[in-house]
Amino acid sequence: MPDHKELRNRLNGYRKEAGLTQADLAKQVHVSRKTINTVENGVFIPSTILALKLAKALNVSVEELFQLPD
Amino acid sequence: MQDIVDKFSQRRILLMVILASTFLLWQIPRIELIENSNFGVIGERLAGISQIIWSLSMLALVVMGRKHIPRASLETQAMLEDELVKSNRAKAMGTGYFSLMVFIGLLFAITRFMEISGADLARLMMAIGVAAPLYAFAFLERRNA
Repeated sequence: MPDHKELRNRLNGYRKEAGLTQADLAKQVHVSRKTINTVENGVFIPSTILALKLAKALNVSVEELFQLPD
Repeated sequence: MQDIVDKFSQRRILLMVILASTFLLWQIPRIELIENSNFGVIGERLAGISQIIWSLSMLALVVMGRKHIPRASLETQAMLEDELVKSNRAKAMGTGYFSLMVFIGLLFAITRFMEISGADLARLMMAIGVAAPLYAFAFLERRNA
């Protein structure tokens, strides 16, 4: 069950846009592939530090990756 | 590198399940009610075998933790203990605590109808307290695989 049902994330889209696999992105931010998978599926909400690392790796802002509905 | 992380992660899941199951099979047959029943002799053997497997598994855990993992790169070590694992571990401890509380409630109800010795109660609670978080951690790690 997702940790936070309302949180929307576009990690999957940005990752694919960057031409990275889950394993590639995981290596860049020093987490396991499973962690990337669970973040993409909304099962796991990453910490602020990991969210910042993901945003940096994908060259986007954190707000572009993760959003709460208005 | 992700292959190594996945391999260690899978081994850890397997080890958690083995540790939890053997601990239960080691402790449950040692309960007086079972020891004094027809199941006593088989239970004693089962408990003995489980105790050996549990001890070997613990040894494997220590060896894996001290020998193989330090050999892996720092990056691999970090991946094996990343924030998802830490979150799963915390959830597993919470699940273990909740399971133990429910189990204690059940024991309260059962002791109204039958007599259970203090030693058996302690053994049962210890078995659940140890096994439940291990199973929960294995389940959470497996679910996220």
